[in-house]
Amino acid sequence: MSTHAENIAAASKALRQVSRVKPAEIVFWLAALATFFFLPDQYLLLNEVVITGLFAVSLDLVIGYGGIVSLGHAAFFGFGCYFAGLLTKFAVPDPILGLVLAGIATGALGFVTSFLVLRGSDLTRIMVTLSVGVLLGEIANRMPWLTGGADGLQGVAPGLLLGRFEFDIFGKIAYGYSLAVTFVLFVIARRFVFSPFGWSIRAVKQNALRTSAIGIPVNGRLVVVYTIAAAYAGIAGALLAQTTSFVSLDVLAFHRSADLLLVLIIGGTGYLYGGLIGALLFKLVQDTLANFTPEYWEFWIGLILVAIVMIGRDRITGLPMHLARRLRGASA
Amino acid sequence: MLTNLFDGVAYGMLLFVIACGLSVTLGLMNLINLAHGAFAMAGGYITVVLVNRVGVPFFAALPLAFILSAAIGLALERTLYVHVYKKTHLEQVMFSIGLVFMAMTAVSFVIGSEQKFITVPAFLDNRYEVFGVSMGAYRLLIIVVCGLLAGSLQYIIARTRFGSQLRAAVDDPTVARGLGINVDLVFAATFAVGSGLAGLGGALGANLLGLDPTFPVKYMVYFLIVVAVGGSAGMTGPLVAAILLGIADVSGKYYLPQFGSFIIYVFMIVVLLWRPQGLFAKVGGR
Amino acid sequence: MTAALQTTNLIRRFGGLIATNDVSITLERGARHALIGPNGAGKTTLINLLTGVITPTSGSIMLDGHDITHASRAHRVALGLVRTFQINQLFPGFTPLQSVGLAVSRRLGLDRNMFRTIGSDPRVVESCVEVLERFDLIDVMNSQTASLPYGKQRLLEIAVAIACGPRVLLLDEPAAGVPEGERGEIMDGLAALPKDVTVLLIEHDMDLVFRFADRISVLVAGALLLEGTVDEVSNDPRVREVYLGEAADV
Repeated sequence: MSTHAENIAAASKALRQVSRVKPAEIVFWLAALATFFFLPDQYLLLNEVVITGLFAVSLDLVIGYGGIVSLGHAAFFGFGCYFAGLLTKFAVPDPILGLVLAGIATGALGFVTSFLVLRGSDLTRIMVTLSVGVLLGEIANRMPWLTGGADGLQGVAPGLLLGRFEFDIFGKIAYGYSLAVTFVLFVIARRFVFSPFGWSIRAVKQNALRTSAIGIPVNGRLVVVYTIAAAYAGIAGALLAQTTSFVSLDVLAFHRSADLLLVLIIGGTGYLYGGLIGALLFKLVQDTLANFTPEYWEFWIGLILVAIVMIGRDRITGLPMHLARRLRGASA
Repeated sequence: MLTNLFDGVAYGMLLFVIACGLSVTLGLMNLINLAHGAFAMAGGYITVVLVNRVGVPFFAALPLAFILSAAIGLALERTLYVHVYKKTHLEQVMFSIGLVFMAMTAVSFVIGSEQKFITVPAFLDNRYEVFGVSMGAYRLLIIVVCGLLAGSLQYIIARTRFGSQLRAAVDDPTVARGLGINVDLVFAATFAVGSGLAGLGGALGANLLGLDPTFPVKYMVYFLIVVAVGGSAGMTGPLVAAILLGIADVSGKYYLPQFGSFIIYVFMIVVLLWRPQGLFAKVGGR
Repeated sequence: MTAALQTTNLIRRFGGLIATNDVSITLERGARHALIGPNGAGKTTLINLLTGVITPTSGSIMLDGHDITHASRAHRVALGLVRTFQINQLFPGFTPLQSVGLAVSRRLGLDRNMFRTIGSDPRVVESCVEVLERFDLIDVMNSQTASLPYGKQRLLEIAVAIACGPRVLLLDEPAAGVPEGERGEIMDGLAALPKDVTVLLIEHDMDLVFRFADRISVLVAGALLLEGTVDEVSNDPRVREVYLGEAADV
């Protein structure tokens, strides 16, 4: 039988264990940093991967942590993209300021629409999120004077980054920028999910009834996580606008939301790294397939989706699962 | 204006026939199937091939579209869907999106991506004036056929033994099994019929709705709206929801063309906010 | 002395059905009070009225002098009225330590914090350990809740409720579904409840009731048949009649 003091020590350790930085995580980020120095030919591709990864992490917050199945997350991505694009083009050339403002604006949009996903079944939430996404796409389509319509918003030229670095055509500064932003936001998100607030959100997903029986306001928590996730998605969109100097209607398209779900299915939900890993794997798969069958690669994506669900994620993902266990620690 | 109403009702009933299968599978098996529109598409293309290429008469092709779509549905249900019933909604969503991708690209590959029209008998192009309301013969046909289908469905569910087994299984599959009802058979039959109806609806509606490989994605939202708003507890809910949707969409596009499909989405969001379980859902529905 | 929990002429109708019929119960502070009655007597409805899941047709509910008749569910919890569920409502993916930790964080008002990690506050840890020790869950505190034997899960259900720091605790059939061999753990758990917490126990297991309760209320068809000490109730012929056919060791 252990003494009270021993129990305290053990409990303290166990509680902190979950949130301690695992060695695998350090390896992960060092590897990411290494790509910046050692893969100059791949900057444009890597930039896409990182932006998609950030976008996926934001969706993971909603689905993996909040338990809200959303099929319209692209709405926030697209909104942030257009907002930042317009802002940078017409008003605020400073990239970081533009980024922050886009994040705030998209967060506000998330907040305002959050009440839509609080009630109802999974199907209701899917419908509502899908509709918001499609609606936003429609709005963008019908305002070509603002959004450039089908041609897209061109000439988004951000100013000097931090007053010193110019966005070059090789994408080096762009990638560094995206990577740094993603890293910072990831660290914040990581802190957030292991905080008491984050735990309460995970509790809501597992058992909303019990969570409210403890006295935690379920709806309030969901609103917060949805808002934060929207802000993150908006920032990811803003990054896209700023680093590619172009915004098209595609950012609001349904297939963005669908692709993102695929990213999370591949990478796994509920442990934050799934979005990043999934984005990388998805990009690799997509590129390979596109080279293989440029016109019908979506067929193979569909097949992969069906296969993953049928066989079950756990049985397929050998290596990523192992990685996930290392990154996840005691529990997710 | 009444013509709009008439057109809207026709459109709505078409949506109902296609979407009712989706509603029942959701209520019965708790399955979110975003690929349902693909069965409608299948029915459409089957009819195109039968009528345009093989020369089968239009009215003979319709039942064939039903049967073949039902067969495809049954095959997929027994091989694939049956494994997905127990999975989370997210996984079902992913699964069915995957199927849709496959279906759409496969069709595009085999038949091509241009829009296809079914050559219908000439008399269906007529328009009739009834009490000052201009009605197209084709739409009239749709209303009649869909009305008959809706009526038969209601009869089957309410009056036949299969119908009561179905209702029992929807209410509580475990108890139903305990009563000796072959729930798996009910699932399979229901899925097949639902797919068949979707195919029939797709065949009927091909010329009206526009048949091309993007059909499932284009109209998926509409079918889901019918189910989400109408609830998955019976036939009345989706029928009313579908007709309302049809009228709203047609009128919206006519009176406020610059807003197009806006109306639909806003309408749906408003309804779902007011009644998250749908307009007609039973208490404690899913 | 203000009663910890008091209902006065509580009535709840569902259309023509009277589920709760003029129920008046008073619980003093620290009471160990049991509520028994055959199935369908309206015990669940009463709990739902007390916790705010449904509102009464008429009558009032007072918690420590506060009128909570129409208070929201969250507000009642904040005022110290906590319940357990007949069917476990736990967090399958958390460990007992984490589950209790969340409840404790909430009680200490720390649950809205978005930056500190959950184990960093020593008060939280101290409280968690105290609760876990009390209910003999220390040994399994780091196991996944879903992997625990049912008896331990039932205890965890109670532990999480206690971690909320309740003044009044409503226990909804804590022994329900617990295998015979693990009943003893539940009894130990009930015995370990803090003395200053007022407990209303709903149970079918008479063994548990007679060992645990000081006073018993008998609910039949929505109305209180009688209320009294354990001896009074167990010897009352009307109670035996109501329980004819049920396995009651009186």
